[in-house]
Amino acid sequence: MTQVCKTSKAIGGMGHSMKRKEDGRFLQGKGNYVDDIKLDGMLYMDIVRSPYAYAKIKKIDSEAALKVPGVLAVITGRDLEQYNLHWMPTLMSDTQMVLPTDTVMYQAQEVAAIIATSRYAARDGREAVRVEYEVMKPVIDPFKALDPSAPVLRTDKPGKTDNHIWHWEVGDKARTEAVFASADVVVKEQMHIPRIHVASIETCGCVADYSKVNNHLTMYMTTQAPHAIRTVIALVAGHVGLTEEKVRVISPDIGGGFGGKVPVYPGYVIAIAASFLIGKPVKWIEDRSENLQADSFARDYHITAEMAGTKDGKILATRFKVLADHGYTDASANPSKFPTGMFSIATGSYDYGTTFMEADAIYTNKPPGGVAYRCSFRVTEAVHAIERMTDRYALEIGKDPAQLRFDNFIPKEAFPWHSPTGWIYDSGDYEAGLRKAMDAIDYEGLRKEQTEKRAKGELMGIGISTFTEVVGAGPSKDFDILGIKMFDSAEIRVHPTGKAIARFGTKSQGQGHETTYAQIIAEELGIPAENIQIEEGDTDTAPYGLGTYASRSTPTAGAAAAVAARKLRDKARKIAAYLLEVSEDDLEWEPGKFFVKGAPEKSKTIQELVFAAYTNHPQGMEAGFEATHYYDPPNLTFPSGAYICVVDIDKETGEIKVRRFVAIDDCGNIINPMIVQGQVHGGLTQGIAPAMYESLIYDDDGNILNGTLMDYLVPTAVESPNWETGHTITPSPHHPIGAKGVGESPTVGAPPAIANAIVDALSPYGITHLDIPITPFKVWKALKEKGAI
Amino acid sequence: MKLFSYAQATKPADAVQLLGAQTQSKFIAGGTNLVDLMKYDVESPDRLVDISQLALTQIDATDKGLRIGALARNSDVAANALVMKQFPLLSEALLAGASPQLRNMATMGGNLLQRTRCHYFYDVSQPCNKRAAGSGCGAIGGYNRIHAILGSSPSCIATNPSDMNVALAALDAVVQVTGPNGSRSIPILDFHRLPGNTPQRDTVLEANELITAVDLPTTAIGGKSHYLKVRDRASYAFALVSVAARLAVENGVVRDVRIALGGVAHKPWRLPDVEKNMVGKPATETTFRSAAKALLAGAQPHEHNAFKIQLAENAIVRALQTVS
Ligand SMILES: Cc1cc2nc3c(=O)[nH]c(=O)nc-3n(C[C@H](O)[C@H](O)[C@H](O)COP(=O)(O)OP(=O)(O)OC[C@H]3O[C@@H](n4cnc5c(N)ncnc54)[C@H](O)[C@@H]3O)c2cc1C
Ligand code: SF4
Repeated sequence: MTQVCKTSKAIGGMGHSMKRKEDGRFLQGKGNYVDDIKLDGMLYMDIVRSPYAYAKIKKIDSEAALKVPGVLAVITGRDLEQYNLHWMPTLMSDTQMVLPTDTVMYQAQEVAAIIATSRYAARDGREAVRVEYEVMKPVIDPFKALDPSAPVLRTDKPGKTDNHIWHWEVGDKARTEAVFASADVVVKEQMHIPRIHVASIETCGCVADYSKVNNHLTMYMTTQAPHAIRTVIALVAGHVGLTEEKVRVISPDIGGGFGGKVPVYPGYVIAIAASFLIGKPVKWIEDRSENLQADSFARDYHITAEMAGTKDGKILATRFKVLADHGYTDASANPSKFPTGMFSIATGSYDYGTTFMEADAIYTNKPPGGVAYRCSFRVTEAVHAIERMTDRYALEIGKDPAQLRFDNFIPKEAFPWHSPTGWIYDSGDYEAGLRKAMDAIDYEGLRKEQTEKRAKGELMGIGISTFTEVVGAGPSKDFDILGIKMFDSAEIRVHPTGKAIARFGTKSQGQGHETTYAQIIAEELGIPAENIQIEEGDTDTAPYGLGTYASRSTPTAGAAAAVAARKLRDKARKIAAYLLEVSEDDLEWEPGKFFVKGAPEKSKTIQELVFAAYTNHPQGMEAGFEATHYYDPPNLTFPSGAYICVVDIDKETGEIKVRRFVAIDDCGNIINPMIVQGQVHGGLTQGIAPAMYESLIYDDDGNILNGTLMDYLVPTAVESPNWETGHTITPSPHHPIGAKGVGESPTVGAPPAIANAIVDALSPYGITHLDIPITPFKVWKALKEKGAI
Repeated sequence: MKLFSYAQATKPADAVQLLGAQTQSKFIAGGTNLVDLMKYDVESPDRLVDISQLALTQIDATDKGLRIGALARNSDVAANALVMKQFPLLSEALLAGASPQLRNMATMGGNLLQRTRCHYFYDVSQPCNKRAAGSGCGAIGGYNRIHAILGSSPSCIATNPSDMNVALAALDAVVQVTGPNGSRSIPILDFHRLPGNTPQRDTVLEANELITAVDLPTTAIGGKSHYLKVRDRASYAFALVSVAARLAVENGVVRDVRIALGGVAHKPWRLPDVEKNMVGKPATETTFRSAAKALLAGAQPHEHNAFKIQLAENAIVRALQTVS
């Protein structure tokens, strides 16, 4: 299906590649980030962090620090304890230290905070604080965390006797076991989805500005979910007087979030406490290493994956067993009822009978987290498992992995499709996507070339990933965070002159909301997108919403914008009927105006109708032209994609070159093709990252071995291949504008395509699986072990 | 970070004088290495003498070749027409290192003296003979994937991380220095040291000597050159192994050759005897591989870096094939 633009370019509704409205200020260096905020009398905070992964704090000596010129205070856990602010809840209803009173649980954990008159003084103060530790043997290896001999880490939890957090399962265990027991082919791999970090360009930070006179807190902070943060602050600090009406959260421009700016970090709470106690604004900005070493990680799932099938390539069942390493507390950012997020989407794009999935989460002495790094809550882990196993199965039975996929796809007629784990996939056409990708890359030609190269001993691989995402959390019956339902909102105000401002409960971090939301409203109201100002991030002005992550903005707030705009169009129709003296039924809409059926010369433009709403509205009608909508989605949306990657591997150095990468995405109707393409490019680069480069590594003592960007390898433009993108369009049947969300598809879909390509290249030597990130060294080592070099 | 005083020099002689006799003073050029080390408390000078304003940034043709001022920026050197024409190997090696932003700051002198990237050297809570003489070596028995396979000692197994230095070794560069006792010229192969039992010294330069220039002699070798760098990421990463190769072939026979290795030792690794031995032999893989093996003779792997031996061998062969 192709999409046609219903509006003119001047209006700039859906489907127009309108230039991003926000880029003017970004390109001129006029963005306004948290660190740009400077307030009168502002103080600066720095944080002393633990060099050890697990240690008792014997003493914190602040004397020398307090003598450093400019240092005003050193705050410790004992200080916060007096206000009962030393612990805070996590989004998963676990608990996390703000500052420790007794024990540190991971390297780089906050130990004390310095408040000073300048950033430099704060840093000098930090270096002057002396902390005495009694080092203990940490639990680092997740597979040993449940050993009876392992120390119990969360001794703060009364009665806790092990390091187990929770167990989760879904699917039909008995039936799955029966299918596995009788299947002709069973394949199994142990895989690790590495612990990685979002490494956004802007680190986290805030300015906490508490006014004693007004008993009011304004919190400027890098958050993807300002309203939720306001509620959390009120829940944590309500008892000291910061009730919700006294708190305003402002999230200014954000330099990348990717899920890492959803959680509440201890630094925010300490800054608030400091401002509250001192009565002056306090700024805290993390440095790069703190961001990488202490802020929430993503992934870190150890998965035992199994697939059962017939000899000729029909998938019969899957089984996944996950060990989830959460660090010292479960600070994931999942909807409350979903401890493993949407991992249960791991049945993938395939139509087969049964599955059984289970997960156990454990505590270790590593930083907390489990954020959804550009991913709808663990979909990345799920997609990697199913797509890797699909290729593994194809390899086992000697079948072409593309053909195997065609033979197992959920047929397009089968939608809405009920998955064995309870999802209702809204729509999809997987076959069309894969065909398009294969044509674009010349799949047949590549396989021929591969055969020739293999005969010469050269390593070339082709990898496919045909994934299904599940995004847009979510319907209120299932989705909440700390009890707050995951709807989202839009409020549109059209001014008398026909120009508008619209505010949202979401928060862009580079996604381009200021443009795409304006386009949605333009589509529905015919007001040029150029004339629609979009605002997000200020809880005093924007309607309540749960923020931007998990590709939820278009599915929720975007839908809210369309519905609110339709409410306004209905109002405009009434005004038009009144002005044109006809019945509402006699009117027809074309983008930008109502006209009388059969008499198109009798019409009123949307601008005339809005003006009338303020100057000449029908008696009995409410004046003005405003609408608000809180959209509770009836279902999630299920974007999909077909990615094919070609790699060439240098046998002698292990170097992997991604020769081509074709990405065909299906995100339903497209709001702005250029922005979608930009999102896909960025997402693919963040997909290549864990596939080939990124992984946070700890030694047995819990020391991070790659805690700077020199050693934690974020891919740069140099490593990014030439992405070839395209799309198929299968609109979401339940979404008001048929859109599905796209920001995360590429991050989710790319890693298995790359891993499959590399394993395909190495498969002649008996290599069936490699854990990501697949580095040249890993390839070289694997070839060496197999005697291939 | 320790408090320090700061002074700016405008003339080389002043720089040397400003540094004075205190051993705790240091020159600062681009600052891209020194400032990092100071932030980590690996280096803690009392005084910094800023030499970035010295008029030592010229790149001039001399009767023997090319003279590059010690303060010439890595990016300017890499893009210089004379360098690109006569010594493209140097451009190639410089561009293989760091990032554009860093190269805009980094200088010839600073690059010559950049310190090892050994993780333990950077972590002041760990033992390291190079940072604190006699404290031990964290890398021996630790995580030593990036460490040396050649020329190391029981005191230190660190490598010299520079790409530029490898090219300079293959180009027979000469380092010009000046100090309180006058000036001297140091051939590049004598400039960097093996660790022995004094790994705290990377080079033969005295603490109060200033590098003023690097000379590149125009030799008759001719032929082609290539810098091959193998690393974990295609940009912004140090070499696991690198090879700077120059090769002149006549009628299928090696006429002259230079091979320097990076990432494998405490200094750029070159064995002139191995090169001499290749002269007159056919320019084939067999010759290249036996030279590679000879260059790596006596290589001693540590727990995590045995891969470097074969990787280096392959890389040497590949680099020579590229220029033959
Ligand atoms: C993130 C990162 C990545 C990097 N990647 C690479 C890479 O891939 N390959 C590579 O080769 N390098 C790499 N580098 C290192 C970089 O090349 C060096 O930092 C740079 O060359 C140092 O030059 P500088 O002028 O900044 O030296 P400075 O930091 O100013 O000085 C370094 C040392 O040299 C001394 N010094 C400087 N000039 C003189 C002089 N004229 N006489 C006497 N002493 C002097 C100083 O006292 C100091 O001890 C990287 C660096 C960073 C930070
Ligand atoms: S290898 Fe050298 S630099 Fe590294 S720890 Fe040992 S002594 Fe220090």
